[in-house]
Order: sequence, then structure tokens, then C-alpha cells
Amino acid sequence: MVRGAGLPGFLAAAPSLPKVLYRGDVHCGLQAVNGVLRRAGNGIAPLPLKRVAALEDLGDLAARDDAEIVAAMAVHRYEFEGMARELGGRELGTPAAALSLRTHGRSRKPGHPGDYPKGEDSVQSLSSMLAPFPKWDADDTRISEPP
Amino acid sequence: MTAATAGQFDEDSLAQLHVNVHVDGERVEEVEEFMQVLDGVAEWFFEIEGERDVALLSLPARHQIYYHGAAPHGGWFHANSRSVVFSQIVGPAEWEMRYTGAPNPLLDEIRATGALPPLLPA
Repeated sequence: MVRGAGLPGFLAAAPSLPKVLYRGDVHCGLQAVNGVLRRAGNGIAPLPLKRVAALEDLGDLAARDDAEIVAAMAVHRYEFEGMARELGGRELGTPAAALSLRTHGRSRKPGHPGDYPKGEDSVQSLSSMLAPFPKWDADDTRISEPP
Repeated sequence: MTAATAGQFDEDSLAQLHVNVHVDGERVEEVEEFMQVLDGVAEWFFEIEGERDVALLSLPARHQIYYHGAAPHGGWFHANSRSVVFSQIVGPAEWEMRYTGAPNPLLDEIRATGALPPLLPA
């Protein structure tokens, strides 16, 4: 931690490491950053090896369209619970079986800013990618493994 | 976010602190976001409940973040942003992005000083 480094110190710190500016101090590295993020129920982690491999297989992202990136990198329904627990130290607000994977957000500005510069096409691709994982019984116990 | 698109982005639209929730009467459901930084660096403001301080996270490629919609936050995409971020928002099918109206002193400082992260090497 660099005490009192402020915004200039934060901006100057290595961009290759996770870092957080909190109360004027700069915290660098996974553990230090999570120490701050977890206070809000959030968290970070390196991409799992399987996603790193998928990312490397994609190669030059500029040469890939949205559908290809979504197909390779999408997190599936059965993974969300574990990620929330591992990264944020909390349970999902919505049970995994009831999660909607195709959500629509509104804001007071026309269109959701998070859509930019992506559009409906990528949402469609994601939706088609993620259904129908996996089967659940009445008490949300997974009864089949995803393929 | 590329050199061509970064300058066009409405920085305020995401940087102002907001929550992502579905409100049904007195019941508030939050959406949850799983974001993977595939290339470049993504920056993100967040507030810790009960504290008035705003923190700023910088997350380089090959990292992921989980955050829940009820926690005030804001993505910071600026003229020097260069990143490929894949974000999935899950939860209630319909939700609303609500600006909290809370001050973001870090964003104010950024605006006052013109400070931006350095451009990443191409």
C-alpha cells in the first residue's frame, strides 16, 4: 500500500496489476485490492485457466466479431453461484435457477449506456449460447451437469 | 473501447454512481454483473455501503470482477480507455439503472485536474 499517494500515485502505478485508490491510499495486487472490494461485497480474480486458454485461442480480438467472443468467453448459468461466492463472498441475489440471462436495463438516458458500442446482436448471441443450462429440481439442486 | 470510440463515449453516463435494481413495490431485487477484462485496462468507481468514500479500481486484462447491483458503482471509460470488456448482467429480466445522486469526489478531481491514466502501448 502506498499511503497518501492519491490520484497521481494511482495513475502512475503499474497498469499491469490490479490496483485500487481508496481514501487516498493506493493498494496494489490481488489480495490488497480484494481487501477493499470485499467490503462492498464485490471481488476480483484472475481469469481461470480455461478462460485464458479460450482467450488465447481467439487471438487478435479486433479480428473477431461479438458472437465469436461471446461463444468463447461466456460464463454459464451453473458457474454464477460459485463465482459470486468466490469473488464477492456472498450468495447470488437471485437463485441460479431463476436467473434471467437475457436482461433488459433502462436508464433515464435513452438506451442503456452499457450497451455502447454493442447492440442487440450480442444480446441475442449470448441468449442463444446460454440456454438451456442445466436442469434443476424444485429446490434448486442441480440434477444434471451441463455438457 | 478503441481510439475511435473512446472519444465518443458519454463518460458521465456510466461514471456517475448508480445502482442496477428491479423495484417491485417495496421489494428491491438487484442484478449482478460478471465482467471479464479481455484486453487493455478497465477502470471502475465503487462506494462501500455506509461510507461516503468512493474508491477507484483499475483492472488489467485477464482479470474478472463480480459486483452486485445494489452497490453504488460506475464504470469509467475516458479518452485514454483502451479495452475489450465482456460483461454479463444476470438477475431479474427487467431492471433499472438508477443514479444515486451521491457525489463522486474522485471524478470531480479527475475533471478538475484533467488527469487520465497514460495510454497503454499499442
